[in-house]
Amino acid sequence: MTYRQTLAVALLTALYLCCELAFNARLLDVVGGSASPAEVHHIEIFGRGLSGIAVALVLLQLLLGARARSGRRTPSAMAMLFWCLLSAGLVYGSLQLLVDHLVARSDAQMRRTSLTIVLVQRALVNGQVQLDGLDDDPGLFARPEGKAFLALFPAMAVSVERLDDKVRDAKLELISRGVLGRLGQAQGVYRQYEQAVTQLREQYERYRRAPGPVDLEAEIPRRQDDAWNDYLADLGKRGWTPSTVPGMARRSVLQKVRARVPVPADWQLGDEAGFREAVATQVRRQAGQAAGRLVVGGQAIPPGLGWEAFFGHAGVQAELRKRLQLPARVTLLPAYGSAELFEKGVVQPLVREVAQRELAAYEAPVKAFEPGGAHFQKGEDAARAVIVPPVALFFSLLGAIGHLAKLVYLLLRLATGAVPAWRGLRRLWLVPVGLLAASAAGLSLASNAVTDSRLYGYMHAQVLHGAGDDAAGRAQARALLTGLHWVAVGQGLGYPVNEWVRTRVLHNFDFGYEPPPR
Amino acid sequence: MNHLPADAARRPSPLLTALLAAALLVAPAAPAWAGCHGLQLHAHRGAPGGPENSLSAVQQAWDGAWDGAEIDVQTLRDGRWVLHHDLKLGRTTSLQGRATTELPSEAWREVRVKDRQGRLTAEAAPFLADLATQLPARDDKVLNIELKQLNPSCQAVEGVVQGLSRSRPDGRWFLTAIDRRVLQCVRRADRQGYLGLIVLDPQALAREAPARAQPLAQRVKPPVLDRAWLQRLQQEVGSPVGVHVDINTLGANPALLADALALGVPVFTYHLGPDREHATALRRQARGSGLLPTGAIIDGTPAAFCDQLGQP
Repeated sequence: MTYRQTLAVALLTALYLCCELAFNARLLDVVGGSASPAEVHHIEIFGRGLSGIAVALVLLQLLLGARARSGRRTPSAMAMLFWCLLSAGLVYGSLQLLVDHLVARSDAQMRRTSLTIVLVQRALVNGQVQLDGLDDDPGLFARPEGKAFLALFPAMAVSVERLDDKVRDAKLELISRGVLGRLGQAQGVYRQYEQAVTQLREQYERYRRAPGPVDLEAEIPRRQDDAWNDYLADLGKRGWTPSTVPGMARRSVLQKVRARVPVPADWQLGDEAGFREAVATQVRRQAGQAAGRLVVGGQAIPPGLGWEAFFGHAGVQAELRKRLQLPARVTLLPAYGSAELFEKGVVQPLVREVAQRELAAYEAPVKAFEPGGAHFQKGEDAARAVIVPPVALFFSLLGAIGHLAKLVYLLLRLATGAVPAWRGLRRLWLVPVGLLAASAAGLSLASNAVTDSRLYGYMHAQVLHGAGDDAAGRAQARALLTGLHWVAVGQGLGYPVNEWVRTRVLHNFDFGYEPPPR
Repeated sequence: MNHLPADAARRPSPLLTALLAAALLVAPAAPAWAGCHGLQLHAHRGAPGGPENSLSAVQQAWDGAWDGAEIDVQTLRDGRWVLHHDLKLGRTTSLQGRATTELPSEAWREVRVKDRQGRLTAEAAPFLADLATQLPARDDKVLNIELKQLNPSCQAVEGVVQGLSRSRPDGRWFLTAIDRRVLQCVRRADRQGYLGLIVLDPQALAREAPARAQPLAQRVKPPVLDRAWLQRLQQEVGSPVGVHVDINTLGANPALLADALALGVPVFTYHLGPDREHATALRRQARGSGLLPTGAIIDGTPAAFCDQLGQP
């Protein structure tokens, strides 16, 4: 490559690295948090796109080198562009296929276990549970290494022997806490309940003060007299009676009357009987509307209800449940006395009931997670949630580290080209390779609070144990554990830099995900 | 015709004037008031509980303690007589700015009357003929009808008399007017009936006028109603004829009641202000001459008026 081509590729690589590092920081937020499957899927698109660009950059460098060596203008710029785009697209699609393949490859047992793993992982993320064996550090999961552990936890937990048995007793509690978390905690529900009751009380007071059913027998003649008198008075101000309205003014008078009273279009100005009938119709219609005026929860509230009866009305209860996001079977009372009594009377039974129902999926036999089974889809979603984070992190790290090494190599090329004394230097690629080797060694030897914890050690051992005595399996397990260790340690070290790049260089670009406050 | 004020109507026509004269001799100091010292009390434009010159107001006067009801009548464009006081419609009716003479009967039927607070009611403005037909006959009540129409034709006036004669044959009604020529027209149609000449008092009118016009009251003089004037009235209109005067005129003519008594001319009083002033003026008159008029046109209730009249 020429000096200028090398400089251009180096700049492109640096630009890509900024995006990749920033993405890596945000990816750790996603996979180490309680992101929904949709949010994970969304950020995956960015990840696959960046991986595609990474490969395209490598290819570009190779093509430029080949073009320089050929001494001709081959391959052409258009050809290079084509191959770069094609390679980026292929990588993008391949990664999608890889994830789908890994998810599809999971068996019913894996899906069932994944469900439990996700349950525990979510509980960890939300601080609803503490793991025995992990040092009691409340701030751990807010730190990069803690986030990395949360991201890797599912991958490691898959190998934990009899995981289901080990967490069986805690399942109901974890599910209950999850349900409570979705409800907004008991105190939060009670506050919402109190606000809803206050608003409902105001609504009730308006309802109570509203005029009762109209006595149509008395109301209609009164309104008829008033309306007719108003009509006569309006005409009288202009010196007219209905029979003396000049012909040219009759139309406008009729329009004015019709704006207030629903007389027919062909109504005669002196037709008092027709006028009165129209007023009667209007009064009846208004009375009918007034009778059904207060509609709560889609149901009309009958007049004259006391506070208790009003509160207990099906429409009011439906509205309350909707506002508090409670299921239909919950019946609320106008008062509970305290948040504790409310929790005891409403929240706890509700959470117990929902949790018991949800527990059925976790306790379901493996067969229910087979294709066509009752919990197949739920299990597959859980398996995806277990598989995607480490895969995404792995490829992100791979791209970042590989291009970091490549950038170092390109910078050395530029430096040797610019400094006459260095022009004789050869095998520059050894520098980035050495750097990678040194990094790998450093990451392998380094540790942090997570990797030093008893739980990590236990899970580490469980992964090895799960590999059995097969040499290939043990090699795979060791490779996995090494990779996980690198991620756990490397993310702890790299996250601050990556986050700095994301927030400062990319102006807080969020890749479509904003983590909820812890 | 036997239409005449109060209980005199039940007596034969030749005795009419003598009995009317007797009604003038009332002792004001009498402890027990027989029919308010013999005074006939007519509800001014009907009873105060109803709209002015409305059927309901007259009906209330009929049902109440009044001896009669005073109403004002004018003609429509087609000559029919209706109850209305003002020169123009509006103060008491839904229709504004028009004179009754501009309206056909069809339009009048569409007019509604206002109550005494100026609020429009559902009550239709009445025709005199309807009132005369619908009002029940009562031998203790009299309808005091003021012909308010300016310069009516004799034919129109005679029409009123003929209509009333037909609809109220008991004769318990009489007509009044401010123009003695109108009364002369009435007399042609009604040889024996009581007629009243309303004497406008410019000084009293000026006193009731807006503040800037009140200085005029001192410059104008109340009319002089002496014995000669009464005799001329009798000659021009024909007996039985009476005078309906403002209390200011009565005060300015202290001999009026005595002269009227001597000539057998009934005297009715009215006042543009409150009944209290009206009663006070009559009380003062009674103290001076020992006489009270035949009747009074009052705005309030008879009981209240009599109480005020009987105060020391």
